[in-house]
This record gives sequence, C-alpha cells and structure tokens, in this order.
Amino acid sequence: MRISITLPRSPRRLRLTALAACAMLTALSACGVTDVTDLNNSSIQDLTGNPTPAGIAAAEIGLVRTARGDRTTEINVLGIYGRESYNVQTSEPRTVTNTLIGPLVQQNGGGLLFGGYVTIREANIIMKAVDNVSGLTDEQKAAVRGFTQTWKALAYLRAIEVRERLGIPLDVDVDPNSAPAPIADRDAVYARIGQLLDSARANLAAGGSGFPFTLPTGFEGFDTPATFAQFAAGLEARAHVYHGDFAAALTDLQGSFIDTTASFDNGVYYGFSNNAGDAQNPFSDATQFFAHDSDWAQAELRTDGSKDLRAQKLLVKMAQPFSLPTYGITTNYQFVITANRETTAPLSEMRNEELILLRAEANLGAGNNEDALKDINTVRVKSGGLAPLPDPYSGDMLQALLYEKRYSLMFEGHRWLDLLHYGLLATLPKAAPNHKIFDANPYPVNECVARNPQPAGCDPIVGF
Amino acid sequence: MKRGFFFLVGLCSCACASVANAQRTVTGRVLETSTNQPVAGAQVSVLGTLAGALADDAGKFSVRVASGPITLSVRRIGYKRKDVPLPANQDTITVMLIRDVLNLEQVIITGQATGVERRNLASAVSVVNGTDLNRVQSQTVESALQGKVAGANISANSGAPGGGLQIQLRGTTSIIGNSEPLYVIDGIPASNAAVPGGTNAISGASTGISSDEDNAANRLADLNPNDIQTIEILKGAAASAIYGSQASNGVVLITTKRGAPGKTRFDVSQQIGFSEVSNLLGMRRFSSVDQAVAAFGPQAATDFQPGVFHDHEEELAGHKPLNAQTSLSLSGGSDNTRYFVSGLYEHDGGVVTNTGYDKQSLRFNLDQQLGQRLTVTLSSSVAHTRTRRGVTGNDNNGVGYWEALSLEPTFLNLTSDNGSFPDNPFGRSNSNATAAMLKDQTGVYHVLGSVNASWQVLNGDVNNLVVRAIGGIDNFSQNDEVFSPSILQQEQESATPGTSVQANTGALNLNINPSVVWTLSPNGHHFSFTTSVGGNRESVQLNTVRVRARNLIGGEQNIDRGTVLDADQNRERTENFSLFGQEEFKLNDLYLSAGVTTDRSSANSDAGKYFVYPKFSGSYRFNIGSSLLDALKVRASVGEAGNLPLYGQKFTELIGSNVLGVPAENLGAVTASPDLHPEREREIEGGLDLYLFHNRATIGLTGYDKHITELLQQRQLPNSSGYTTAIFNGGTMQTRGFEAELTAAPVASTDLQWTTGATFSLSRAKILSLPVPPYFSGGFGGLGQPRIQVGVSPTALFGPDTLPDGSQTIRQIGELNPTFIMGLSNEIQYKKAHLAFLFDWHHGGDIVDLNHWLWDLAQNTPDFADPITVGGVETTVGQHRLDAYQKTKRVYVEPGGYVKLRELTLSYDLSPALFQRIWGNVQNATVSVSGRNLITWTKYQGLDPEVSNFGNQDLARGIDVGPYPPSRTFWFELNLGF
Repeated sequence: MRISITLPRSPRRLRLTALAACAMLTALSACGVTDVTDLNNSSIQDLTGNPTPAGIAAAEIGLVRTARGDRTTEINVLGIYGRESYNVQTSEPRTVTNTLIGPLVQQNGGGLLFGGYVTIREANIIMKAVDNVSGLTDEQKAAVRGFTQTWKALAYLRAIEVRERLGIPLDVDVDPNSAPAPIADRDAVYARIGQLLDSARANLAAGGSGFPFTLPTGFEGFDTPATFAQFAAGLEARAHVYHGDFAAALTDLQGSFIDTTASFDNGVYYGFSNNAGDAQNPFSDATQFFAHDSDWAQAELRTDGSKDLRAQKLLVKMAQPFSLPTYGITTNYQFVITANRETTAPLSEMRNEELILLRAEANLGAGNNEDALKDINTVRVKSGGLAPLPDPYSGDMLQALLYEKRYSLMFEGHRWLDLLHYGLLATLPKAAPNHKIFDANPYPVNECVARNPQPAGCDPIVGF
Repeated sequence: MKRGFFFLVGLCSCACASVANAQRTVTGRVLETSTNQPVAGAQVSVLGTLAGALADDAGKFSVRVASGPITLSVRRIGYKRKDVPLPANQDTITVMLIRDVLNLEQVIITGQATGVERRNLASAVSVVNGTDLNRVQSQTVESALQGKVAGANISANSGAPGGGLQIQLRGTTSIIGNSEPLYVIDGIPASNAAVPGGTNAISGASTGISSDEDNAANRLADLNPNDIQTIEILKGAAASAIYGSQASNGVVLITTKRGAPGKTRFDVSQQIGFSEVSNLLGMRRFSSVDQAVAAFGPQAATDFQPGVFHDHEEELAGHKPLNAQTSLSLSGGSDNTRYFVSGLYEHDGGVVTNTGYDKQSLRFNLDQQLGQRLTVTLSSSVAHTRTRRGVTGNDNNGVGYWEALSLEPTFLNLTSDNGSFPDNPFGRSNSNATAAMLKDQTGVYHVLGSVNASWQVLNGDVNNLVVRAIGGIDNFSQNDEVFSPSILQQEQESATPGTSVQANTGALNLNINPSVVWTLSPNGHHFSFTTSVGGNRESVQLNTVRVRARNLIGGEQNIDRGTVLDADQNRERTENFSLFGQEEFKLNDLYLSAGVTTDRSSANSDAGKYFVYPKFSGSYRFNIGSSLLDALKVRASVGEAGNLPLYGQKFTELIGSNVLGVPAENLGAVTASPDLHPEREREIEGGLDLYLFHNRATIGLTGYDKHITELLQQRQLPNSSGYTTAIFNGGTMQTRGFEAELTAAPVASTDLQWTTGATFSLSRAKILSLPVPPYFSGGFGGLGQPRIQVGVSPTALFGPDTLPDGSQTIRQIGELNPTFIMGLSNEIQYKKAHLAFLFDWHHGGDIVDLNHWLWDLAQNTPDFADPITVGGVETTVGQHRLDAYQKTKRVYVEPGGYVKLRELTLSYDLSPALFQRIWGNVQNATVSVSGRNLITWTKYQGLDPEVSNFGNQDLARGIDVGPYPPSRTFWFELNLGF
C-alpha cells in the first residue's frame, strides 16, 4: 500500500506557527526556573561554612536553650519517677503510662534525656567554627570553647544519669549512616564528663574577662569566663558525686561557688519569658502538674509543730483534690509555682544549696562524717527551720542527708537520682498496685534499630 | 516577546481567514432516535472545511456549503456522533442521533493538549459527568465523587462541615511526599493546599499555634460542584506521565460548564433541608454513688444524683440545623460568543453547637470566536467560604469536644443557666460552654481564572494545526480566627486567660501553558497522526502569618488586647518548568501513543536538572458484532511520573529562637540529602473493555503494577549521632491493584430507563527494598503506627503486643488499607419520575480508635461497667479492655469497614404549566427529595470510620482521636428552567 500524504498548502502559515511556538517556548524558558532559597530559616552552612562571631554567639545561646529544655524534662520525669510530682494530661495518657506504669520501651520513655546528643553535635560544630572564625581574639575563642564544653558535659551527664547501669554512646561525630558508636559503660562516661569539664575550666581560665556574647537573664554572677568556671566546677562536683569519686568532688567544690554564708538560692538559672519565640515555664500549667501527697506528709515538724519551712514554701493545698481513679492517682497538693501559674519563674540548674549538700554527701562518702553533719545542719536549720541534728549524730547519716536533699532540692530532679545511687528506690511509695518503680531508661528506638546485636539498653524496662 | 507573539497571532488570523466559496444552503433537523425529540445544540460541521452550524431548540440548522457532494458530521455531548454523506443534489436532511448512554464517544483528555474518544482510550480513565456528580447536594467535589470512581479511595478526615477529604488514587504511592493527586481545573493546575488555622492554640494537640491536627480543609472545597461539566481521573503514571514530576499520585482533570449557542437558558434551583448527626458514642449511666466515685473520684460523692442523666454528647451534637442552597445559572450565546454564568449561595449548619459552613460562589465562563480561526475562552470563578468547625480531634488540654466529654459525668448538669455555664469539676472544660462561646472561623476568598487562546492555523481535511496558550491564576486568601474567651473554665485555669489567634494565608499559583497540536489525516486512508508539543511554566507561592495573643485584657478578641503575644510565619515557593511532546497514531480501531515530558523544579536540590518521564500506550478494538459481545478492546500502557519533594525538604537548617530576648540558633531536626529529587513511579497497566448487548453494557477490567523507586525517605538516624532525621531518595515500593467498572443500561425504553453501574477496586502495596533500617512513619508512637519495612505493606500498623510466651514484642496489629472498595449506583427513570441511589462499600481496613481508649480511661464509655467474666475472674467490659491494653495495642485497633448509602434521590418532572401562571417562561420544573450519607453499616465503634486525625496523609489515615461526628443530610429541591 502506497501512502500519499498531502502536505499543507500554506507553508507560510506553518512557518509562522513554528515561529510562534518557538517564541512561546523561548519566552517560557527565559522566565527560567530560578532556584528558591530557604525562606523560613537560616542554613547550617552559616555555621559550618563561614562562621561569624554573631553566628557562634547565637549557637552558644542555642546550647543554653536546649539545656533549659532538657532541664524541664529532667525535673518533670524524674519528679514522677521519684514520687515528688505528677504530670497528668487526661487526653495524653502516655504521660502516666510511660512514667508510672510502663514498661519503658524504646518508643515510650526511650528518648528520655537522650536528645542531648544534638546539643553535643552542635557543640562540636561550634568547636570547629571557633577554629575558623575571624573577629574573635584568642582569649574570646578560649572562652567560647570553655562555655561550649561545659554544656556538652552536661548533656552527657543527663543521658547517663538515667541510664547508669546501661551505659551510653560517647562518640558523636560518627557517620550517621555507618554503625553507631559503641556503648561506653558508666565509668567511661563519667571519665569523659570529668575530662570535658577539666578542659572547660582550663579554657575558661584562659578566657579573659568576658564572653564574646551576652548571656540571658539567669546567669547573673556567672556571666564571665571566671565566674562561669565556678558553675563548671560545681557540675564537675555533681558528676563526681554521682560516680562516687568523693575526693575529686571535694576538690571540684573548692573551685565552685559554694558559700554557706551566701544565699542558698545563689546559682545558675534558666529564665523563661512570655516573648514570642521564647518559652514559658511549663510547670506554670495548673491543669497538668501536681505534687505528691507524701511531699507534705513526710515533711518533718518544726519545734512549733509547723511543717518544714521548705515544704511550706514549695507546696500548697488545693481547694479540692485532683483525682484520676483509673490510675489510682489522688492528690491534694500542688507546687506553688504551678498554683500561682508563674509562666516566667526561672528554673535552677545549680544552686548554692545543692553544692553544700554535695559537699556533705562527698564528705559522708569519704568518711568525714563530722564535716558532713556540719553542712547537713547548716541546711537543715537555715533552709528547713528545723532543729539541728545532735553532734555527734547516732542516727543514719545517709537518711539524714537524703531527707535534706529531698526537701532542699524538691521538684529539682534529685530525689530519684539520690535513691538510685544508694540502691533505695524500693523505698518509694506506689499509688496503685500496677505502678512501677524504674531504675533506668532504655535507648530510643532509632538508636536500637541501628544496632546489631541489640545492647541491653534496648530491652524493655519493666520496673519493680 | 509576548507582545510580538500576539501580534503574530493577530496578523495570521486576519491573513488566513479565507471563507469557503459557498454555493448552496443545506438545511435540516437533528432528532433523537427513540423519542423523535429535537436535539438542541447539536454541532453540525462539514467535514474537511471550517463550515458549521448549531441546531436550534427545534433541532433545526442551516449551513452554507460548497457545491458538490459533502459529508455532514453531527455531534452532541451525550449522543453518538453521526457522519452523513450528502450528494450534490440534496439540500435537506433529517439526522437521527442515538443516545450515548454509556458515554462511549466522550472525548477524554489524555495529553496536556489532546484528547481521544473513549472507544480508543488506552488506559482506564474514569469519567464522572456533572449530572452524576451533582445528583445529591454536596459541600465539596470530593464528597460528591465518593463511590463513583474505581481505583479511588475517597475518604473524609472527619464529619466537620466545609470539606477536608482525601482522594487517594490506586493505593499508596509515597511515604513522606505529597499525598494528593494533581488537580487541573480548566487546563491549569490548581492549589489543593490545606492550611492549618490555629485551633492547636486551644487544643495543644502539638506544639505551636497550629499543627496538622487542626482539621484543615483542602482548598478544592471552594469549587462549586454544580459548575462542573466533567471530572476525568488519570489514576497513575501510565495515564498521567505527561504531567511529569507532579503526576505520580494521578491527575484529576476538572472541566467546568460552558455556554452552548441558542436560546438563553436560565436555571434556578432552590434546596432546603436539614442535617442530623448520624452516629454518637453515647455516654455512661451511673447507677450508684460507688460507681460514680470509682470513675470520677471522691468529689463525685458530692455531685452524684441518682436517676439523673444528662447526655452531654447529645446536648453538644444533637442539633438538627436547617440548610439551604440557592443555585442559579445562565447560559447561552451565539455561534461566536457563548457564556455560562452561575451563582451559588449555600448555608449548611453543623450538628455541633456553633459550627457550620457558608459558601457563595460566582462563575463566569466565556467563549469568544474571533474570526474563523481564533477562539479565546475565559474561565473564572470567585468563591467565598466561611467555615466554623469548633475544636475536635487530638487535644492535650482537655478542651477538644470529645476529650472534654469523656470527663463529663452524666449525673452532672453542665448546660447553661441564662448564658452562664457551670465549670466541670471533673475535667478541664465544659464542652457545652466551649462550643457555645469559642469562636473558630475560617474565611477564604478563592479566585481561579484562566484564559485559553486557541488559533486554528490549519483546518483542512488532511492537516489540522492548532496553536494554543493557556494562562492561569489561582489565588486564595484565608483568614483564620480562633477566640477562646477568658471566662471559659479552661482559660480561667490558665496562667494567661483568654486566647485569640489571627492567621492569614495568601496563596498564589501562576501558570502558563502553550502548546501546538498537529493532526494529519491523509486523504483516502483511515489513519491519522496527532503530534503535540508544549510546555508549562508554574509558580506556586504560599505565605502564612499567625499571631496568638493570650491574657486578653477585658476578654476582648483583638490580638492587641493580649499581654502575651507570639507569632509564626511560613513561606513557601516552588518554581516549575516542563516541556512535553506526544505522538498519537490512529488506524481504524488501533490506537498507539507515545509521549515524553521533561521538567525541572526548585523543589529539587538541583533546580536546573531535568527529569525525563516517558510513556507508551496502545489499544485495539475488535469489532465482534455478535448479539452478546459487540466489541472487545484490549489496552496496555506504561508510563513514568514523579512526585516532587515538598517545599523545604531539601534544606538543612538552623532554627532561630531566643532565650529571654537573646538570639539563639539550634540545629534543625532534618538533614537533607544534597541531591534530593522526585520520586519516580513506573506504572504498567493493562486491561480489557467489553461492549455487550448492543452497547447496552460495558465492562472495563484493569490491572496495574506500579514500582515507585527513589522514594522520598525519612530516615530516623541513631540519636547518638546527634542527627535526628535524614531526608533522601531511596528504596522501592510496589503497588499493585485491580479495578473493574461496569456500566449498563438494562432497560432503555421510552417510558422506563434503568442505568446501573458498579465500581470495584483493590490495591496492595509493599516495600520491596529499603536502604535504611525499618522505621515508623506517622501516627502516635507506641499506640499502633505504620512501619516502613521490607516485604511489608507500608500501611500495616505495628505496635506493642504480647507473644503467647508472655514476652512483649512489636509486631503487626492491623492494616489501614481497605481490602477492597465497591461502589454501586442505580438510576431509574419512569416517565417523569426519577430514582437514583448509590452505595459505597469499603471492606476491611482498621482504625486506631484512641478516642475509645480515652473514654475507657475516664470510665465514661456507655458499656464500661457491663459485667464480664474473663478467665473465671469477674470484671467489667471497660476494665477488661484497659487491662488487655497493657498487653496488646490490638484492643483499640478496630475494624473500619463500612457500607454507606451515600446518595438517594427521588425526583419528579412537573408540568411547567403549573408555574407558568406565575412565571410565564418556565420551560421545565423538577421537584426532588434527596439525602446524603443516609445510612451507615459498620462494626466500627468510634464516631465514623471515615477519619484521619492528621488530615491528608500518605500512610497514617485512620487514626481516631475524637473527630467531628458524621451527619446525614436531607434535601428538598425545586428546580426551574427558563
């Protein structure tokens, strides 16, 4: 079959068509597809590529911000674990199931205080940026390094303190696509924390008279390299006490801001504000946070028959009890900060009072009972308004210390840790038979998925 | 450049306007075969020339033609085309057209610029015509499509008024990419964005002012369904490849109505009706003070009153609001100018206190013939909607209505006393009070317009060449207001009583799409080639600003009355450019087509890189001609299409914030791959179409197999690396499925016509390869979530479970994807009466009913205290569920299959004489009663098995956290045509 095709009779029209079509397409591509930059946020290149002093400054405050967030988590969850507080959201039952009932599994509770690794990576990026930045003096660079290392050490401390018997990974700068860093045991982790804080303190000592950035409200008295180093020393003392290195802790405390004559509230605080882009103190949510009735009931009586001043200062009885019968929770007390809805109330990271009690604890651990009792009584009298313990004290010194720590540092995330360190978690009360006491938190799911074989930290923690 | 182009167009249309040398006039009539009724508006054209005419209302036409024999071609939508040879000596003719009940001759748009008759179609394109779409009033196009399209899973996110539905075509095709098909309205891609409004500020479902749990409606909702002429659905890459990087979820082509020449038609329809809630959970009755105390604590001893039962859910959602819709349309025109104008006023009340939906819309479509060769058409619409939906869905503040209800004991009166509501001492809020006093309103102005200039360069019997350009604009502005007055209980308990949110969104899509189509039909041969080339340039922009004010002075709404203010802003912009070419070959019953699209986009890491998407398809129709089987068509097609990364996925960011005013930057959670690019879907589709019983029935059977490679993946990195989430391309998913469509007209006599249709579809997806360890995607952690894992369906639910040996594990506990979906429709016309009904059956598929868990925890489920003996131990039904939930999350994974009677309508054509005394011009009049979603059969224990807490989702639909309840609507309609 022969096919004959008649060509268009109007070549001129066709040429015009071709011309028009070409013109349209050229016009289209001339409009071009321009790339669109990030319209909402800055790029990580700002820090990794061409760091500026202002960029480093903002990243440093970023470390403070994440530390603040982790601090609220620590107070919230360890308060529940340690039967000091409740966080109850009726429409988010996981607030209860994941902290009081369990089991703690990778998805639920696994991430607790594990987010600090992002802080650690940010700290590592800052450490590299400092090497490359222009516009900072060597002293300022040292100050930046010391500041950065302090927050990095604190991030490790929080991750290990709730996983003492499991250990945690130490190396962060591994390729995220290859096998994750091995799990280091608690000795190795506390050793790393000590090294970091030693290095931080050395850098801060070489850091000149001021930081090349402004610190937010809450750091008054700790806003120069020299004074911030006192905070780093306090953190190191805390870490050494947690690890049982009591002699080292006593040395650290000498470099800290410990002072029995100064205000016990002197210390480093995280401020909150109602500013856009900032955060409010989460414990100001009166619908969500409650105190444990035993907080009030177990406070000792003063000579006039009233309760320990610390209980009076922190706790307030509610007009009617809060009750969640399905979970066996009923409570009559709320923390004052919550009852007063103090959205901008600061939260402490470390106070003078903790340092004095850390010194008591270190002395007790080192066998210096007399020195320990002196500090215990200082706190007991000054803070609790209670009669001092007799010297020499014939009772259980550890119990005496733990009572003071419980009431001086109530709702500051310490009680569960202290009982954990001394193997006394079983003494905590349980509101319902199905409630459990946990002695550690597993790793988050993504940490486990990437590991083969599964480390012990990936197993569910059933509690007791 | 542009001016030059239009100059060229103008020049040519003048220069080339040659009129055939008319020598005689042919007159005739066009009639319908079975009834002998005139077919008004039939297009009469003289083959091989530009000459043509339109039949008037009496079916009469007149056309000037050259001397000598000619062939008239007569066509009209809804009728089969007829070509009639006319010898040189015949000047009058009567043409009889046969109704095309099964729409076999409808031209289906298959390319960006071309279409093909359904009889030749090489892939399974579903077509829904306006009349089928609008049989029963619906608020949105998507709900009007439910049950009518094989291969489409169309499901509402909640029962809230004003839309929020997802159309998923042919199963799961993405994990974290765009989940929506591309919507093309009158030739231009339209925005289907769903912008959350800010109820998160009240519900605290997530952090921030808004979240994807805000129950946002996708903006397709703004289209007036009555304006739609046809919807064509290209379900996968095999059919949609020509749309390139935006087409792997399929393409929905919407064509609006246009005017036809002839007498002006004016239609007015008034509907009035009501809606009522179709399912509630029910609330628990307490028979003793002990029960009350056990559920609500010691305070209940004070408040318990025996025999008192306040159904707070009924108080909240038991309204029967009146609804009304007025719809007008005006259409007509001459051969050169045709217009369609419509207006809509709609008010739908909500079954929940203080909710509802209002829509006003105007449309103006114009077709203007300029000379013989140039046609310019305008399609434009403007709509205003106002949606009030209240606070439903996930919540962490005890304020969302169904969370609040769970803590409201029925022995307590919580209704208002002279406008003042009592506090609920057992919860954080009183749902009655919140619903009555909280304001949640979304107002949207949506403007959609396109201009299409089409220049018929050649219109010979051999060569036909059309140059076309479409320019379009789609612009909406959305304003969200949320105002929670400080006198509400939850605000009184807050540190900063009173919350007000103002959010404004501007969205703009710009589009220009030129193309050239050349059809070559050589003389004396039965084949033709159609060649089309073109391009598309698109810009998509979105800007949302939200401000939240708290601690409102004097309880006023304005945001400057707040002492605590915060704000967020989100901007998005994507620039796309594509080129396409397509070749189609037709030889009698053989149809072959090949096409290629290449495009680039700023959504990719490399904005300059082109991605290429080819397609091939073919069909052959065997004309058998037996009394059983008229014809059989086999068809096959293969094509590739993409799915662009979402805006922002390619960036690795520092997130800015502050600590007491001191600037802070933190590493963002996402680390983007440096070469992020579109997902690529390759679809192979094959099918059979059977034409039976002298075209009384057609059956279409289609199977498809999609391989989606280079999936956009979200890898959760080991936390200890300091990274959180990596976004990259990798892995393969396979989605296979089967569809069947049956359409039949078993009875088609003059008095009685019965048309029936059925659609069936199923799809199964599976992850074939995954370059990363398995990970969870979407849903709530630990309570049943989709998990991406090789060899497993991406919509399989995984959650904590207990093995027979008592050990805890995480394994599959459900499947979100329905086993199959069926739609059954029937339409019966007997003389002037007309009955139609539609069933929509989703079989299988599970739902995570977290709301049930919350209600059990509050011990407020109606059956909570029913006694039950488990393993010899007496307990209650509710306590048993809670105890079991400690061991397995299967407890609240409930079967989500359902059958819904979607549509039922009964109408009657009245004699126009009834109305002519009042309005002399009435030509036809119809009354009807109808209803939507009238009956639901389901085992699901929640409010409605159509639910998605997180809105439109690739995977994690079917998560229920107390959504807005479903309702049924009843309508009475009077329709008059002038």
